[in-house]
Amino acid sequence: MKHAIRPIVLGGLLMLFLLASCQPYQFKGTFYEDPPDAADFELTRADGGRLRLSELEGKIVLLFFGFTSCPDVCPATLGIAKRIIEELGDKSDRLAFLFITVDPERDTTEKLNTYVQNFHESIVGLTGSEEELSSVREDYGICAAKVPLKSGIGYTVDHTARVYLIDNERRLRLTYAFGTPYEDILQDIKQILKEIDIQR
Amino acid sequence: MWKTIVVLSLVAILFLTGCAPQAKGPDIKIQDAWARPSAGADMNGAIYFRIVNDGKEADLLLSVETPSAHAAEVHESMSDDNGVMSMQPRDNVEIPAGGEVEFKPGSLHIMLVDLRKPLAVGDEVALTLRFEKAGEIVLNVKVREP
Repeated sequence: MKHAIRPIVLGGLLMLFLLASCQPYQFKGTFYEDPPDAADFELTRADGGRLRLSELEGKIVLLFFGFTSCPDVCPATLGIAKRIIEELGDKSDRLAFLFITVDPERDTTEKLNTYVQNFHESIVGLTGSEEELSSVREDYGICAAKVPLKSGIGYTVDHTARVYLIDNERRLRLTYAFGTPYEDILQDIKQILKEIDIQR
Repeated sequence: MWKTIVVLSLVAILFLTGCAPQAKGPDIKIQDAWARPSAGADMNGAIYFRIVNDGKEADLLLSVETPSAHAAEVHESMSDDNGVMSMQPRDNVEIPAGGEVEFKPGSLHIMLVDLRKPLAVGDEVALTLRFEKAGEIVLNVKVREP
């Protein structure tokens, strides 16, 4: 009897293991059940030239809206971008991180470029005319409001601080709230890259 | 003889007051302070820490000061239900008796307005915190990656 139990236990464990590995991956970000197409846009690159989102098809794009005078939330998010890019290593060319300014008045291309490059050379800062920027914000449901402050910085810009993930087929797949650990975003990116490689 | 008694009493008083546990009042300590590396000159910086009050009385952080920037201010970032972040200066921050207040990304922070020079990992920033009861506390805050 004692001998009969052992294979049963081992078999059971094996089954459990197989079942666990069959479980579909649970994305860490907030995901769209039916991912909509990410609205295309064209903006001015802080490092020169223009960039169309559709040019990046084939890559995973992380999109964030912020401003360079922001001392807390924006650098925290760009710090996360840096960690993700570094951890992806040789796969990092399959990802593009775009930082779109919500403060074109103060964020000159030069200032914007110095700022984003300080975190990682592959991060692209984007700006444009007020009309271009507000149209992108509207497409992505981004709030941005200039708020005067009794402070040395003069004014701040209240803004949506979520990170948006657009997949290789330019579909809006996931969003991440401020404060999401970088490991969660990284794991989701790795999963999507894996899905792309399987489809190939 | 009298001289010796007076001197000894003075020594005893000094000794006793020095050793006596603080019966009341706040007991403020700043822990785990760090500053974020800045993204170039003319930029703003941020400092984070925990303020621990082991005393029996609350205290108020009234102001902060640094020679490293044109101004230092106590700010608080807040998120609404839609993920919109805003930032407000705080006139003061109460540190409850026997409690602590954490300054952390996306929440309370010291904003360094218009840095005089960029802050790189390994640099130190002098920061003076002024409390209502505990008075001034001076820190040398290390710049490090989060």
